[in-house]
Amino acid sequence: MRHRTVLRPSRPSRRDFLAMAAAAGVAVPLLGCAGGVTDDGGSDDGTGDPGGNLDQVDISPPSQYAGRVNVAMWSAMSGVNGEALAALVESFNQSQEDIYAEVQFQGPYPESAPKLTAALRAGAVPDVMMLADTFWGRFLINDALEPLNGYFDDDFGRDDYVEALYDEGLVGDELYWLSFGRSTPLFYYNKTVFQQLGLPDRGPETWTELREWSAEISQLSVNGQPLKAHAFTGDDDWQFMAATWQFGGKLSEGLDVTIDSGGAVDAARWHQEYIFEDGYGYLAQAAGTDFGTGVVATAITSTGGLRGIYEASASAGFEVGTAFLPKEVASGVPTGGMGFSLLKGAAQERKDAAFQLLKFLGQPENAAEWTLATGYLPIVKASMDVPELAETLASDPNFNVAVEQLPEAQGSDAIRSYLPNGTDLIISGLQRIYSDGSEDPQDVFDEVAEQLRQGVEDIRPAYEEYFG
Amino acid sequence: MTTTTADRQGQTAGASTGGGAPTTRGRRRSRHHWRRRRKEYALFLLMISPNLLIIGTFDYWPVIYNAWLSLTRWNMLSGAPRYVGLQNYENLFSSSSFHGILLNTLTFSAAIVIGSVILGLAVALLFDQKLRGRGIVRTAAFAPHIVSGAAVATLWLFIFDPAYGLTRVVLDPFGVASPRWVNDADWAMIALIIAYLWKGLGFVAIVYLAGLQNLPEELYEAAKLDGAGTWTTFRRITLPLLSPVTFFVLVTSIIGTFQAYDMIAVLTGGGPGDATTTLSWYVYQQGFRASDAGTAAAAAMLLFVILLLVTGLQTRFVQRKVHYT
Repeated sequence: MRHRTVLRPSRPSRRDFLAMAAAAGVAVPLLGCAGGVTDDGGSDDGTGDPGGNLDQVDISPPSQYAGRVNVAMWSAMSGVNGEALAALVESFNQSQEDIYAEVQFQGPYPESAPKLTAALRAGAVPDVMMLADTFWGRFLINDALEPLNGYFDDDFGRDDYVEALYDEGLVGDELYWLSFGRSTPLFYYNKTVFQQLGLPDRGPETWTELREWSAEISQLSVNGQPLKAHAFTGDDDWQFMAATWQFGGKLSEGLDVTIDSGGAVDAARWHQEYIFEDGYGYLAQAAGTDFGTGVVATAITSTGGLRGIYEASASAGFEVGTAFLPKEVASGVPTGGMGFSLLKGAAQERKDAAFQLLKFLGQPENAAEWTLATGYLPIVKASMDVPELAETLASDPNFNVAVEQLPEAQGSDAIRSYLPNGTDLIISGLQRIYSDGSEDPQDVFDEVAEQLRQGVEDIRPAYEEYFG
Repeated sequence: MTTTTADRQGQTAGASTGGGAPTTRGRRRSRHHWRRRRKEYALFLLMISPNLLIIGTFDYWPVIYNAWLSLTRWNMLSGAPRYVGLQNYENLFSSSSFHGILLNTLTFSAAIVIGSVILGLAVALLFDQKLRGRGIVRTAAFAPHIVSGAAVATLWLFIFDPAYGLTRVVLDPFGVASPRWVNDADWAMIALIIAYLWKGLGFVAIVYLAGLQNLPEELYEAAKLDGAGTWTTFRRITLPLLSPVTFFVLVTSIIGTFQAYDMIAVLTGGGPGDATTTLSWYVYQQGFRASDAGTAAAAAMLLFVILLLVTGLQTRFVQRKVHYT
């Protein structure tokens, strides 16, 4: 009986009921937001148009650009390169009055690509996606990318680009990925150290020659320890693919994995001995940074790192030299870097606007500005005639090395591009070999190859739809 | 009161006589009663619905969906999950690298749990002394706990840097080269454990300190009178009385280490190779790097089951022995 009397005063009035119902009403839309699908209301009137099923990610135009079509670009560039890109996009916004573009940094390639996967699931995507050469393939074979041929016209097209780089974005005759920050690896060496030791002012012809020089380099000391001659990269397999080619092998032929035989195993074994038996090299946290600060005498890293390395070496007080990659039994120069793709599912109005941004970035003076600011390869032929770039190419041999090396360059082995965790598996194996002298490269790559082959089974049907 | 009694009677009458002869008035009252009960139930549902909705949406639904995903293969990019039964689990259990990952997880967890208890207690005992400036030291020791894991990991990357780091400066005078902590397969796990312990130590110490300061003074006085030495007092009085705190530290550290993500991401990225890949990092790697939802979900289910077992065991066996004062 007593509990009745206790309960009665707590019974709410009709008004309380209404208030609570209203509160519940507030909670439900909040839950809706948490789904991650946002609607800026600005530029997706095209929903319902062909390919208009994907919304746009959040974008917040400053007041002076209000009322324009919004274009969100997801970028993987930070530091010097990120600033250069942001400056170009800002010029784009000032150059016309219809489109507002915003660069949104999403972390380096391995982080930004999974974010695109998540965005596709959530149904709200960027309009322009920066993708590394080894990342766009996985989105291609899952039908996420927009074919671009129809966007080009007579005054802007393949002829304007360095064809070999442009063609890497082709599948058959159709373009899905437009090159922008393209690069090759370069051999960077500390000129000051080389002069001090009386070594020639050039890169080594072969890995064997590097080993000979390393014996001398390690006579010098830094911080009381012998100076290391070469820093190996452990968070990328790009340089290792180059070494594999230089030792006469391949990571894969098409999707047929060959990392467990020939050149790949030879290169890994050579590197491992150089690190652990000779003691000349090491696995670096960031090879480019170590080189720029003078901790190591040589490193292989992207042309796109040139500006950053210049800045660092200036304060460390040494001169930077660049050279072609060393050979061993063959020449091996992979292209790399990034380009832009549009998303198939975005509304047509957004895709049209997004392409205007790509077109702007492909104009000779803008492409030249990008190359000058970063060190990435000139991708637009006419950009090399823009006076500032022409002068730099003529006066700074380091910029020119990459351009001269380009004819030897070729695109990545397919296993890195189409298998989502292809590079991760190779990198993981590589880290084991570079970080532990007791790991046998053959055993490690046998394991890696087995995992790669399992993965290939899943993607082969989709791959063959585009390439079969 | 009378209404209620009448209600009851009407109800009982209705139920027992099976449609015998309740008065019209009684029936009306009964209906009235049920309406009110329904209204109360509706109110109850309305009150708990926001919570249920949130817990259901963000806790239970993901678990259920994850269980389903673990039985499928799906790359999260296109198409729909394809049912493959227990294939993902079979693959995990037969993979030697996955065994290594489980071992990493256990090593990491055990080192953190044991380290936290021993060091945390030691630091707490120190803080419990009447020393000058201990307030500042206590605050300083607690500070890492409130800093984000990513920031702490970045800090330790500087400390561990073999070329510029603090470890080099410390080792230099002895003519010893700093290990390449995070890039050496033998050192990376040790580096991770050191950084993780450092971050959590202040919290554990403060929890132990609170425990220490709540211990009854009489017991210590009695022990003193009985001639017990410092070690005996610690072993026979302090430790047993602190067992609820130890239990709390055990539970939180085990769960914390099994969920560790941020420091691994920044410090080692699970490498070199798989040297610092724990179960939680593996789930991320498979799900978002390898685009393999099925394997990630299966590994996440294992993580779920392991944590469920750990929690179950702890409540059954450890808690029973915990000494509450």
